[in-house]
Amino acid sequence: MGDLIPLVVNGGSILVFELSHVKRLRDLGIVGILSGTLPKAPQQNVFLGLPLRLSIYEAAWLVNQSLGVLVDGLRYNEQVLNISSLKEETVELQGGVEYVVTEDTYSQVDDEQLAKICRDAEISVDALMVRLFGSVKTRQHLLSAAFNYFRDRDYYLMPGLRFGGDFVAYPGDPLKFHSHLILKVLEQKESFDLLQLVTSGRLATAVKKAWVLVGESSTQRNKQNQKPSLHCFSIEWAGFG
Amino acid sequence: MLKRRGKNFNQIYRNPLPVTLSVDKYGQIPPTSLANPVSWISLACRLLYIYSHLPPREELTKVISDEDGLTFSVADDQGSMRLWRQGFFGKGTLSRSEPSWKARVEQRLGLTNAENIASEDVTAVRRGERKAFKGLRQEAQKLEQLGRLRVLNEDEQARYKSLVDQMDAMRLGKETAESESALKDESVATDKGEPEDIGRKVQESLKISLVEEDDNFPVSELREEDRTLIDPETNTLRANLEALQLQKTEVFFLLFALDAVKVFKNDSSLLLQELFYACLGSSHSPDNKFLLDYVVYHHFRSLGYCARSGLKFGCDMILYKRGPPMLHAEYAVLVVRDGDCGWTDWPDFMALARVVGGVRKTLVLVFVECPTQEEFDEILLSELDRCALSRLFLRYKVTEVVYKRWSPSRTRD
Repeated sequence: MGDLIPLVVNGGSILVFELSHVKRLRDLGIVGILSGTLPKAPQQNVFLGLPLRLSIYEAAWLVNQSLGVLVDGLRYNEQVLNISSLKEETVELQGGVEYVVTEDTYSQVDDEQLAKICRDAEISVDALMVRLFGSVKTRQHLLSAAFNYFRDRDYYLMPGLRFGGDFVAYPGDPLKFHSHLILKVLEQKESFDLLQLVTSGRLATAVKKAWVLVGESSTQRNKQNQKPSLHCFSIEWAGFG
Repeated sequence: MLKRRGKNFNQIYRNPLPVTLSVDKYGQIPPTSLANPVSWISLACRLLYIYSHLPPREELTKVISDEDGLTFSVADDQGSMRLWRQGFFGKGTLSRSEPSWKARVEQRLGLTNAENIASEDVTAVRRGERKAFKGLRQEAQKLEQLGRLRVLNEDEQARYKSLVDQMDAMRLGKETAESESALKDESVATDKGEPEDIGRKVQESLKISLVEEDDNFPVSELREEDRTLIDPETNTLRANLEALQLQKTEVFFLLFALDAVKVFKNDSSLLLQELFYACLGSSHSPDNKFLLDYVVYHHFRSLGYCARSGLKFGCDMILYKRGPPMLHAEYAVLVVRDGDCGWTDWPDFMALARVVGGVRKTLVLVFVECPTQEEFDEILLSELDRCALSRLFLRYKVTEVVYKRWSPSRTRD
């Protein structure tokens, strides 16, 4: 249990504040999005820092693989604070800018205590899904299944909004590789506009990627809890010289 | 964005719509001067002549609708030529846009001496060039990689140098051609470079293919399908296999707004009302996709734009300032029913915006406000003549919104 990475749920986001955890996640192939601004330049949004924000699909995969545990932010932080002592110190830098510096509370908590806190504050993936999306929806489950499917095949996944898909898949660390696939997840019987086919196929080919439609195979899912088996098709725009 | 120059476009594409003007038929009004009463008389005579005659009309083009009433085509050459040259309606079934199959086949089989260059040939030449360049680049990259592993021997070094020189020469040729042409063309499926230059290249490539044909395949050894095409007595093509295919909105515009065509189905002519119902399909609601599209189509046509299908860019329509041969389309139009965004959820929208941005067009969202179902039914119940249809279309309102990607980090000063 001591090895589990606590994934802190604050409101609707899943955050990781500890740099060592971020490094471990990166090695596990979970990229997330750095979403903290830098204290000295809070307005810029090109270079972001801790915390790392994870998508629900990344978190679900980690929990599934027994690598991480989702914890409720409020309870988790309260208990961490109880154990550690919070010392505040005001430091003035040049230019009259004041910062409040606190000690790293996390490092004061040892593994055993942390594991206990995590057990206390744990929430399940399903509970979080309900909290985020109202009721549990098949689409989210399907997206999660698609994420697992590609992560298990050693693809690194990032959100695909800028390419008009649900995910983009990289053959390795996104810092080293360009992505190869744009994934679009479709539910069973979901209708699909042909103009979209043109748009997405064209876009994917223009950025030298394959556009992949991911769908659930209709025949092989009989039980509720069984993993849906997925089928993928890739689409390419022919005739570009 | 200007495409090609040097062609006599103003002559060929004189009329922006298939409408005959009195000037075309009767000529210019004679010059008059206030001081010369004789010129008044000739003017009066001419005016009297014009007003006493019916307005000039060209023969209506025959459009054939197929069994299910969903596709429309023009089979005769003259009609297709008219609809293409006067307003750029439709698309050749065997061509990219202008119905040029016949001209291309005649050129390929050497049946004509006319030097006409179809846009398809231009594209083929350009693609060939690009492929050759990519081949050179690949070989050069291989040598480069090899050079990192070990020292290249003399032959390899010489080969690498010549490859680099060739690639530079090709790049240079392209750049000069581009800088010479007044405005550059960046769109995906269109022509680059100087017209004369391209024309020369196309001619050369055609000549080469003809020479090869002469050497290897004499006329008796033409392909079976080519031989059936040629009439041996006159040495011309037996028939034009190509038809001009029209969209629903185009046919309806030609009939409803211009009265320039006659639509036939099973040899009987369709009334305006029948065509309307055929286009409408089974869903009789004011937000029928055909109605929304037509309202937007008519709107932009009446503003003087040439509107054509936007299928190849994943949108509903693209707008040309004059027409495809002269200028690239400037705008891509997405028709959105007011209050409902249809398929456009964010990822799809981002993809479309990227595609449209990638071909240097501006994305225009056109929101269409529809009349209520009651108003719609009321008009449909009355006799559906041109007046009633006009009343119906007047109830629609369109609003254009230009979409542009805004990047905060680039815009900040």
